[in-house]
Amino acid sequence: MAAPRVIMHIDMNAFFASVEQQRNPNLRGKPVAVIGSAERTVVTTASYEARARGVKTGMSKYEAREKCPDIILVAGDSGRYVDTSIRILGILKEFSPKVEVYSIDEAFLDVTGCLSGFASPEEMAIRIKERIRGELGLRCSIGIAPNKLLAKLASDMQKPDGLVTIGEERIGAVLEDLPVEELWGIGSNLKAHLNGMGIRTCGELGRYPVYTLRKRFGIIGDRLSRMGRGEDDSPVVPDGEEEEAKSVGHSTTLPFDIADPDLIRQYLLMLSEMVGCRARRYGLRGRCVALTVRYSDFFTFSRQKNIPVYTNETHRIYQAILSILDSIRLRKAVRLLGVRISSLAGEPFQEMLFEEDRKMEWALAAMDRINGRFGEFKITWADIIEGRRRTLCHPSGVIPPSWRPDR
Amino acid sequence: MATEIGEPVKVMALFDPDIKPVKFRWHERVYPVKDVTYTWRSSEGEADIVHFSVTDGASVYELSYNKKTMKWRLEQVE
Repeated sequence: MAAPRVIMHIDMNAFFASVEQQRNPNLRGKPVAVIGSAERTVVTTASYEARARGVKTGMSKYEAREKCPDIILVAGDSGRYVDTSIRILGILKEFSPKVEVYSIDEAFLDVTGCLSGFASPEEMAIRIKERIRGELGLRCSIGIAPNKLLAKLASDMQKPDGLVTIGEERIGAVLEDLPVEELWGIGSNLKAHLNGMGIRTCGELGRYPVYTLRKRFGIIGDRLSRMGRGEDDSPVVPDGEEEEAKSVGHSTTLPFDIADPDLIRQYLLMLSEMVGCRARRYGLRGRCVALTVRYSDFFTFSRQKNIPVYTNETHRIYQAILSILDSIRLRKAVRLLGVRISSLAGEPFQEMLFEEDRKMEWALAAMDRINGRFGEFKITWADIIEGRRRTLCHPSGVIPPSWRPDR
Repeated sequence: MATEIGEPVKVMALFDPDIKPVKFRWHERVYPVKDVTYTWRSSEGEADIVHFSVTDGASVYELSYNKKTMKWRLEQVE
């Protein structure tokens, strides 16, 4: 029988707000909320001082001020957080080669076989915390367990600056009365379904007949049953060995609700260029193009279409997006727009047959090289420049949950 | 809230081998750097840019150093 794995989950505490408090000593010990730079932004992270006053992620800045009139709002800087996250990953990789980036502020480590030189996994965790604290001034919570599910649960059990181990011998006791929604992967919908079946705790979930769970939830029924017993054999997938991307997309919340079709088209061209540029950088082309629209009342929908050829060319993506846009009637002003390509294929690609297409490919490659040397959008489409003269704003650096370091 | 500045400034700094700003001149006034509170890196095209949050004991300033052009800028004050 294989030796039990030793998995750690590292969760940076109130990450963005902690970076800001470290950067600006005047913010330390005070209620701070990190917000986006746009006028209609929301709280992306609140410091623990702000959380104690009722400020939560996702609140508008007006709601945050209502809860905590002396809150200090700080416009976030995604570049600062990305660089900090990369430095944290650098520290973690000194302790184990198996580091999985889960998000910008969370990572899993498989330290099985890496513990020589340490009296225990806890001693290694303390060293990791010391390194991050010493080099960056930031605190984190670490959970240690035989698998990712329990390690993530453990890191959530003590915040901030926690260190919790769930050893094999404690699994049953920890899970018996734990509400199912505390488990990673069980959201409000699933919780409601499980509660409706009379399952409220992990103990009850683990004992529930698998057959009934399978019948109710399909293939995830087995997984749910195992989760209830604290079983999870999913591997820690090291940074750089993740599955290939299934889509390439960008979206942006507009600085104000927009009904002007010209301005909407200019934003879509800019998003198409961002998607095309990223796909070209990674040598990917897509055959399915999708448009996402969110109205001012937050109603959101996506429409997609397949195109005849695999592409990463901005103008082809944009043309497909325009044809989708033309097929729908916008009922309200638009708050958010998104462009995505999927059904991806990687290189090598067949060379373009027609000279006109080859010239466009060369022009895009030249444009990418220039922007790669001097910075993005230094050379771009005339309509984007024209739009910037009006009100077009470059999408702010929102960090998606799927963030991974660039290689 | 921070005020965006985005102006070139003269900076006296140690390169040993890390970069450590010591003082900077902005609008004919010299600001001593009492503490470098945070550093991070970004890039613009091929240029690596190092950012420094520094304090003179009263305000917090963001200085940036473009390693390609070797130019310093004062990005913001708060």
